[in-house]
Amino acid sequence: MMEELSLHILDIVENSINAKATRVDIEVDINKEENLITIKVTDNGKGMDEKTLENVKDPFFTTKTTRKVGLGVSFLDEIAQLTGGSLDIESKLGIGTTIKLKLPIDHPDRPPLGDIVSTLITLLATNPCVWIVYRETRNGKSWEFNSKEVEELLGDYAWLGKIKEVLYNSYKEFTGGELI
Amino acid sequence: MKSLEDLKRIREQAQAQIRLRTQEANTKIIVGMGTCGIAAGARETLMAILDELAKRNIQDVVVTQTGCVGLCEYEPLVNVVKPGQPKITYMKVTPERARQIVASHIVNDQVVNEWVLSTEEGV
Ligand SMILES: Nc1ncnc2c1ncn2[C@@H]1O[C@H](COP(=O)(O)OP(=O)(O)OP(=O)(O)O)[C@@H](O)[C@H]1O
Ligand SMILES: [Mg+2]
Repeated sequence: MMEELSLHILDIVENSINAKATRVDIEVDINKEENLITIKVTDNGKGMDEKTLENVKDPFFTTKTTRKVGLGVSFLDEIAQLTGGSLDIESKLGIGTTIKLKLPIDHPDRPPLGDIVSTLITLLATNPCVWIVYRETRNGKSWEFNSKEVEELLGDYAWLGKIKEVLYNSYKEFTGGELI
Repeated sequence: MKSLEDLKRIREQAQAQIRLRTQEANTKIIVGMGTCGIAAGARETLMAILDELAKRNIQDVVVTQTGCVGLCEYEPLVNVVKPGQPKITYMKVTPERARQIVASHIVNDQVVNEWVLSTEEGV
């Protein structure tokens, strides 16, 4: 398990990128009435066959060849079980994969959402050709970031730094500084 | 949506000055972004590298990511590949180490030997 949900989001999107996705949608929904935070990541990567899908939550399953464990998805499963949440994974070969994690907001073992903007900047900087859309809903408001809007700026580190600043400010304005 | 409008405005202002990242850029910095790398702090390491490149206005460097290479205990791993030079793999690269690697190896061509895990010829 990692310290922030935003790090898990980065990790899950890395799976999508390894599966050759060209588009990844990240949706975060914070519903206080239902005490539920939902994180949904949808990609158009190569998808999983049935055997992979059956085993994907198993920490000793991976299709990588560099080592014998695959921890990313099993970590999410661990958080879901620890907090009484749920993890659902749908995948179709040649179509893509959707990973949906639901967690009770008030459980003491739920990691905080953390630094979403750093996760987005990391993804943009290292995968400028992948179209990434992030949408967060909380307190009846929503905040969206679409990497297409800044595509042309991503190769220039000075501009990437400016994007980071804009995103930090606008996200902070959206959350009002509220930590989840 | 305010953020997007801001970014569009920035883009318009930038239009004239933007230099696109090219495939043949001289130097590559590759950060390990597998689960083990991320858990060990690779995101913050990468953010420090980006910040250092921006501060120094360095453009002819490509920053990319790679998955787990099976050396999890040495993560965060950072590879530096300069044309005509062996690939250098740095281990346990904290944000501070990352900044120093940019200053020393990227800018001044001085490998920071202390943190080198391996050197690979011919890449
Ligand atoms: N979005 C996805 N698209 C296609 N296959 C996926 C996706 N996510 C996971 N998988 C498959 O499930 C396996 C297990 O994923 P998991 O993230 O748990 O481990 P890993 O990525 O193999 O290794 P690690 O996360 O520890 O670096 C992967 O090896 C891959 O075969
Ligand atoms: Mg993974």
